Amino acid sequence: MSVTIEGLAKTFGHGSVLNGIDLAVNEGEFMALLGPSGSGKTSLLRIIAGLEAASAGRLMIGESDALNLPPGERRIGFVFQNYALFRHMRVFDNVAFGLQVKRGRARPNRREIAARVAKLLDLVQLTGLERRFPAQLSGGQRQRVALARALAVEPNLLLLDEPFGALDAGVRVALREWLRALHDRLGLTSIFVTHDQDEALALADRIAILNAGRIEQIGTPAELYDAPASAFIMAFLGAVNRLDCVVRDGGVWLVGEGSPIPASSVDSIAAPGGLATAMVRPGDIRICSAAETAAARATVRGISVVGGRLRLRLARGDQTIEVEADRDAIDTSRLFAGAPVRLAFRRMRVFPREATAAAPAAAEIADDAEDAPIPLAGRRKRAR
Amino acid sequence: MSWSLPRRRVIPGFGLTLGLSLTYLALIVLIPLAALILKAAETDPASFLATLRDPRVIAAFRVSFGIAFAAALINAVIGLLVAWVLVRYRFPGRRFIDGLVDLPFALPTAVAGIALATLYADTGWIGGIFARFGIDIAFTPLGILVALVFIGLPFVVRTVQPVLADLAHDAEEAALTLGATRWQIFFRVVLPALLPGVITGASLAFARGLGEYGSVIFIAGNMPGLSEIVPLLIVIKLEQFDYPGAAAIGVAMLVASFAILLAINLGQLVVRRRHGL
Amino acid sequence: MAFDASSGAGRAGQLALIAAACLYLAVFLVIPLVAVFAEALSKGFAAYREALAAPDALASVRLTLLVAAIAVPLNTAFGLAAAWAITKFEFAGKSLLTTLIDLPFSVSPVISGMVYVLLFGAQGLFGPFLAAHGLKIVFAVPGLVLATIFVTFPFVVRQLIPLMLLQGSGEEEAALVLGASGWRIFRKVTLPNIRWGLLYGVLLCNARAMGEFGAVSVVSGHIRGVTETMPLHIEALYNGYYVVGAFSVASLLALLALVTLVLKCIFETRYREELVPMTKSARVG
Repeated sequence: MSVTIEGLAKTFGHGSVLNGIDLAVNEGEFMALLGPSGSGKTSLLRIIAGLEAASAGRLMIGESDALNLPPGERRIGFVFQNYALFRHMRVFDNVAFGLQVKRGRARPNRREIAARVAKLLDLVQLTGLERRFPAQLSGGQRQRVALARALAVEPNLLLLDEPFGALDAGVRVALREWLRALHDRLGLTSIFVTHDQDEALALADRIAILNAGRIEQIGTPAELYDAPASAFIMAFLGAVNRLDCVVRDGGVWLVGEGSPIPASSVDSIAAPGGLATAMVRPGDIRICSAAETAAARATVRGISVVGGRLRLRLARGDQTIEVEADRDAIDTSRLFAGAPVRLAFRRMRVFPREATAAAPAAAEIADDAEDAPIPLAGRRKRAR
Repeated sequence: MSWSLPRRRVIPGFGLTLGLSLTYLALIVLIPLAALILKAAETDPASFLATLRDPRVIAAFRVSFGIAFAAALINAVIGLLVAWVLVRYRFPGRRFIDGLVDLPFALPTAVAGIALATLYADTGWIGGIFARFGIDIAFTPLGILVALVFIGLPFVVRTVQPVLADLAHDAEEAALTLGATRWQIFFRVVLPALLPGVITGASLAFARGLGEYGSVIFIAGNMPGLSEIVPLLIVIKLEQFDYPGAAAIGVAMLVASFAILLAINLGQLVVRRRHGL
Repeated sequence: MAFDASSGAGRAGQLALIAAACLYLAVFLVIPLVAVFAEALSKGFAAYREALAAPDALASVRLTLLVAAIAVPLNTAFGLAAAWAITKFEFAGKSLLTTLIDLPFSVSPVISGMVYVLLFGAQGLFGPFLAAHGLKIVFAVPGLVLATIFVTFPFVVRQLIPLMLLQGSGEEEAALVLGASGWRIFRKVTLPNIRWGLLYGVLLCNARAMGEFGAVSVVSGHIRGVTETMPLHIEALYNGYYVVGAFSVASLLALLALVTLVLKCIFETRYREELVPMTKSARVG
């Protein structure tokens, strides 16, 4: 089932969590909502699920206007970051729950329920663990039970809220691949929220990058990496170097250099003119020989070897430049602390000066804010 | 030479504090308790059993255990309601009411006793209302029930409150996305998670209700066989200088309540272990 | 309200539940409390003052204060010692010790008093010995003190143990390494950290000591003017149909209870990090 979101917004007294979100998810697509904490991605997911209300906008799941439907009627499956399993029920009852609460004729009989649960457990490779309690399972197993439980009601849309956030790194990677395989097999439209760009880049068909309640860009992982629409996105998806520069007459002058950067080195100029910031990835900087025209000069501050890669730390005035390359790509015999080097760039992108400020840290309204009354004794993290 | 002292000798004061504590405990608790057991043992088993088989004694046990149980049940339900309202809702005066819940803890039992007796007598503010329908509260087992409900009230509330406050509500949200109605969520997801706390609180209220004296003695009719509680029976025996009899009843009551509480605690332990709480 | 939309009631249902809870609490808690003062003042303020000035009433107040003045400091000292031993050290039998400390809470107050009668009463274990030496413990003030100590000794230590466990021994060990002696460490390091928990425990201990009825009743012999504490005097007055008198004395204890509750609220609000919330440890009377 496809999902269409138009002009979705969520305000909160004096602040807003989401602002004018437009998003279209295609049928069968695996879409990631990526962004730093406070960007509103979890709120967006929860609004799609019906766990939170929107202040404005439209949400269509398939052909139906979903905003007026309670969560239980939207035919969605939701997988929570901390699994949210029913601790006092066995695995079987957890998975069967959605089927057992159906009322009237919609409710399958016990044999059907048992058969469906068995099939689902087989799907998530947890056959044999029906009688265990969640406390007796590992983190990865619990997450798979949560997934089976969500799938039991045959949803049209699967929503996952940082599903691997609570797991160890190794388990996370394994589960990640397994989830993608499962998605390919089921063809279920899925939207999942993460703050980990590796995860998003590895798993998603398309990624929507959120920042401070707005969508900055939507695209495939390749598109986002190669053609980021903003400095924020470029910095968010990987390491970047920032260099002060000036845009004049359609060319880019690095501050302190006499000649402009060769046009072939620059992929895009998004700044109108005047002061700007040039951004280039560590892997797109080359040390050039004496014969070539250098775009910039710098001094070596440190060299480190990380596996098969070489990492150079260079200084240029008061700015630091990081360069990354294969070990055999650079002749290190003439590199030592203090040695001068000459640099050439490629795939450089220039953005307006203010736009390169770092993405705001958690906004005053936290990502997981709810429009809910605060309980008496207070959740620990607030009251104490 | 390696330096490896057992931990206790690093921080000073072990001998002094442990010695003081043990001496104090021995004097205040152990020796008196030994006296209880010795006195009870003084009687030969035959008269020990005879004391316990006395119909008046049996009736008193029935009254005490039965009404304490009923009061614990009532407090379980109402205590859960009060805890729920205090934790999940916000309304003016909530803080005040939250503090008020501890009143039965803080108020001396004799004060509570005479207040309840006066209130629920046929001429009292509340008793008068019921008297018009022909229902007597004071001086009947119903009066004992009222008194035990009063003093047991805070137990369930205070035990359930922290459990409720810490309940991760993502399980409830999960149930919501799976299509459950509010009632289904409450009975299938929330209540089972709260039940251990409710049972713990109710069993504490039960234990307290069994031994309660001051709050009950004024409002109970103290009629043998009908509204006489075990603690009163013990007092009567002591006043008659029937020390062995009093000791026998005391020991029986301790053993019975200990057994019940042990059973409840063990049951809780098993449940907790399974649910990884 | 997404949070409560998931379970429980809608808005109307919420109000109904709140109203039900408030009604229940009003009937069972507030009205009895109000009744105490209403009955005490039912014959006017002058009668109230007269009742409080009666010599037996004053004697009972003095006796109550005396008993509390002995029992509470003793129990505080014990509480500090026991809490130190339990929280700073590991030793065999520690859980047995902790269970023993909980004992008065699981025992009926009548039994708490009875054990002393069995020990020191006329037919008790030490009865003949005491009679021979002209000593009276039961039916005299020492018995009252003992029974009160028995019933209230857990309060202080039960407040201190979780608090001191939470705080750990790190600071004490640091002081030790810096060369402080045991007493110094206790006075300068531990005591300031636990002062609010300690105060709170002393508060509860005192409230219970003054209000204890069952245990004291068994041991006292009800000798008017001599072994009648306030709760016992209240009983005597009430049974003698001196209703205003009984409730007047009772109102003093009720005021004490209210003060205890108010102080408890203040302590909890202002020093939440240092106190462990009041749980089953507080039983008074």
